[in-house]
Amino acid sequence: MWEQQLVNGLVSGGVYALFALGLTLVFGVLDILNLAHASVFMLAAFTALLVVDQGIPFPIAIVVATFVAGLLGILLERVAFRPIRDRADSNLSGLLTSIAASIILAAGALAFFGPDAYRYPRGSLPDHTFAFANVRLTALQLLTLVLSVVMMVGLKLLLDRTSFGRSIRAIAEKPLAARVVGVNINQTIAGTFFLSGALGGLAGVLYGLLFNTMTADMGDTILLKGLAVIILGGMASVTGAAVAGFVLGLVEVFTVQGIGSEWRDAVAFGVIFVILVVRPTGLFGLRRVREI
Amino acid sequence: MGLEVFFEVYRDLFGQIGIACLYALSIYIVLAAGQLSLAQAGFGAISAYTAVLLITEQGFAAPVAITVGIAAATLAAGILALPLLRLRGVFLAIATIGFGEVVRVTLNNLEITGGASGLTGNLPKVEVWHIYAVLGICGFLLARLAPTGLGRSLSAVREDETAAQMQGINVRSVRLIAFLISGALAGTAGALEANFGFFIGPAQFGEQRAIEILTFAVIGGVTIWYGPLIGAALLTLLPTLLRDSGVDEGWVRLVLQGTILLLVILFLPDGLASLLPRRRQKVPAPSDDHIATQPLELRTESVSRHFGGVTALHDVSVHLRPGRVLGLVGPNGAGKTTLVNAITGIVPPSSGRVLIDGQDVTNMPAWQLSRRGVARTFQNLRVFTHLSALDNVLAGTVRRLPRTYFSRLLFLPHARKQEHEQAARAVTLLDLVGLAGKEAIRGDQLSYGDQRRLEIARALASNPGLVILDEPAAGMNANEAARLVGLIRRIAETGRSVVLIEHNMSVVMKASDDVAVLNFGEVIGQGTPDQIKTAPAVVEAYLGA
Amino acid sequence: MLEIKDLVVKYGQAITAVDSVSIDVPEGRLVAIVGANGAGKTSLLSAVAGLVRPFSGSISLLGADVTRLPSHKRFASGVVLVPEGRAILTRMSVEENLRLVTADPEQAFDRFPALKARWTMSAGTLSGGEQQMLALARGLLSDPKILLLDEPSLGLAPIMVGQIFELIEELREAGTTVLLVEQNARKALTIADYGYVLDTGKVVLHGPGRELAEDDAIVDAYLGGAALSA
Repeated sequence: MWEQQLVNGLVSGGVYALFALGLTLVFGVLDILNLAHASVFMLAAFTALLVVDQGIPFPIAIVVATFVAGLLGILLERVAFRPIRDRADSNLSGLLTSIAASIILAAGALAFFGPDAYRYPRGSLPDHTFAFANVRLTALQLLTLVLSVVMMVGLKLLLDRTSFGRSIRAIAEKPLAARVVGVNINQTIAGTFFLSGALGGLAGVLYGLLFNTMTADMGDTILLKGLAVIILGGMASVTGAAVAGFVLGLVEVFTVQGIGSEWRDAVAFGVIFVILVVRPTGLFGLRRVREI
Repeated sequence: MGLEVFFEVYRDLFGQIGIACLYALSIYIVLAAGQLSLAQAGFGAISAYTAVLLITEQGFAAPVAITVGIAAATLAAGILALPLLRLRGVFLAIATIGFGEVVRVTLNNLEITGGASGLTGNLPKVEVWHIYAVLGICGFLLARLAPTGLGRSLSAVREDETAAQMQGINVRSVRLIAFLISGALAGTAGALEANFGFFIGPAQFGEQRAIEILTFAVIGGVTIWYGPLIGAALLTLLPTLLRDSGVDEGWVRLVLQGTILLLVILFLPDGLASLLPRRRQKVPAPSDDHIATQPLELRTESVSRHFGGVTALHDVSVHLRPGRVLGLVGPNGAGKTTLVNAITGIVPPSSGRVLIDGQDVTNMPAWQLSRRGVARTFQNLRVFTHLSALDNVLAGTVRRLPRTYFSRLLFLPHARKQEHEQAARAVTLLDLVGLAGKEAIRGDQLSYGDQRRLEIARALASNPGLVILDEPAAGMNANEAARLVGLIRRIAETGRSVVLIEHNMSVVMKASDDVAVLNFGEVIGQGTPDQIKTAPAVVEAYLGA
Repeated sequence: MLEIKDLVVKYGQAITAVDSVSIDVPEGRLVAIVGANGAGKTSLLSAVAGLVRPFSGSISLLGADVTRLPSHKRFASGVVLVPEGRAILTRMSVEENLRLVTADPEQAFDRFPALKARWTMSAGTLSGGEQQMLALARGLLSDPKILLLDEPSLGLAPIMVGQIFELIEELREAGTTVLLVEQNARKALTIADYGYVLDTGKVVLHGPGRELAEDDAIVDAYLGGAALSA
């Protein structure tokens, strides 16, 4: 049975990791915790649903929704983060404006979709199941695993090998250095937010596909899991977020087996606590002091 | 409609506003100390459930149960403080949100707390006027806090913890006190809330509530105690106002809330309370009395400091006799500030000893050293930017402030008199450093040179026996520098030892009795100014051969 | 090449860091700016590089007004700053640091052979002098029309300081236009074609480098009081 749990844990871990990577990117570059990320997660899930509702096959819906989420990220940056970027207390102000943005976006979702739960139309999603060893894996679970790993690898390659990625890393370490090498700061930050939104949005779409239930408040629980992941992985570490996402997924699944599913959500918070007390820099975090 | 009917219909609303205001006060106190703690909803839950269970299960009388509930919340705050107190900013916010959620999930899952359906059957025992009476008392207690030692310590800690430490403020204990008060206030809110209505459930106390309380504080502003109350009242009224205007949909309220919050952060960062007129700070005339000080003797013995592979200080031994001025010179990066950090307890040495009047103080924390009589200014200015010049200096006196809180609560005249005396002495210091007439100006509105002077006044405020000035002449022209020399000599003559770090050689040579020269972390010369200024090693270090 | 006219730089409303300064840097020349800490030298260079917006005044490069040009465009037009403290990316390798500015980082090997040995190592492991070399290499490989150097000798051992100044002199001989800010006044003025002394944001002295280097008036203005003699 544990092999099945392992697979389940990895699948949900993949979603957590994707979501957390979006948070990590923004935190690394701007030192801001973007709590509106959960709203992007939720809106992307609904976007995919809307697309499929028009009769368009779900793979295209995934791409469209992810792209729209990226654009939403750029919009967020422009409206909520750029105006406060130069303030001395920008990380606090940014947290607060992200809260304001998430309230407004949540209101929008409530207005359009109401409090009801939505499902994908019958027959629009695949229902094959693969069985091997002791494990049953649905097509959607497999898709989630594959996509999350592909995106993580892709992100690492982008950051390590491309000049855009180098610019992002430069700003994250030392904005002054980025400026003296001619990096277009505004453009690079906008691009980072596109990536961040796309990652969070893809996580939302996959989550919606996996559980086939979309509500206007589905971002709430994922946000806290995302926070647990970035704390566990180290606040600005991409590798950390990826690994910690899977770790959280696994820990949750095995804890639920142990103490029951009502405590599932408490696992993430327990993790947050333990890490903050014992090793605040997280598994992969560096002792970061933001340099000018 | 008649007044009685009005109050009946709106009973719930008024009660909710009062409760929200109590929560607002509870987040005010932690934000005033610079801590982004979002644990209020969690504390409220602990208090609420404790109180209700004591009443329904154990038959306690309401006032007793409520008191126990508040105690429970305060105890929880104390326990939570242990691991959380060293967290800052976003990390503290995340940890406290996490705490709140753990409380909520636990309440959701336990049988004794009724699970997700919560507890019902507890008849309301609390009336609207009870809530407002308690609110009034709590508000009063907080309002009288501002000019006291604790009040000033809170602002100092919020502004700059390192500078606060150097003024003798025990930062850790101040943060703990704020945390405990927050727990007590949130507990009060929760216990009253639980007994005001028929029902409590875990959903009332989760992350949503915690963030809502934060928005009270942001919209109202935290620069003064009643700021968050404005936010609380406004946001709690909003749904009723909307409904009464015929707007029923919940999302409209959310859009308004979010937009108001965004607009306030972007355009009115000090909150709505900043729109209200504030009483001008009274600036008294300078006082004449002088408090005697004993100058301290300073000796460092083979102090070294390494950072990773870099040796910032190597085997540094300097001696400052009481009442003398020791100039400390050397090129940028020579280790002067590192040495001063070692002496003042900010970054203790890796090896070697620091002795003050013969006492080994090597690993004493900064705030204790400050109480021992050591004060300093900072190379990278650490002025309390949001406080007036006068308040900056008064923040330096917290260790000497008499305990006026209880007198203030009773509006006794002797409190006012003592504060006046302190302020007068502060004005004297500001005059001494050349800031006469600028007492009411905010720290960040002063020119660079004036901010440097302000730091000196603040350092002197704690009546130190040893004053360390770190590049006080930076940004001064020749005239100002000459006046600075006079000031330094006067400081020494009034019974203090002075360490002076400076690049401006003219200032160093004229103000110092002895000079020590550092280069690459080592002392390359020590003697009188005359001896030093012709030493070839020094000339080479400074002008470059 | 570079004309700074009546430049005023303020921080907030209260602090005037640069107070109506005018400086000319002719093409191919090395101009030095010296002065005490807090005199405004770094603020001046930051404004030229586009890192801070001046309050008033103008900056022109080859006759074109660049005062309002954002920093990345200024970089593209050839204004390259090597900031105080180097601003090296310690988490990237030496090679990556150079790749930020050029597709052919190996050009650096000619002038900076020491970097070759550390090519793939993280820049954080380099010594202070090596980091300064890296910063200079990065500046040069950015194809500058004018190179702004902010305190390149800061915190370096005397031997390294000598090497750095030798390098700067070589650059001047090769025709690179350089604006050099230094606390090591004598060294800077000795190699400079022209020099300016700043005090609390204003130019108090200026003249040909050699003359200023031997002028006791700068000892007064800069170090305050003829207390030190060479």
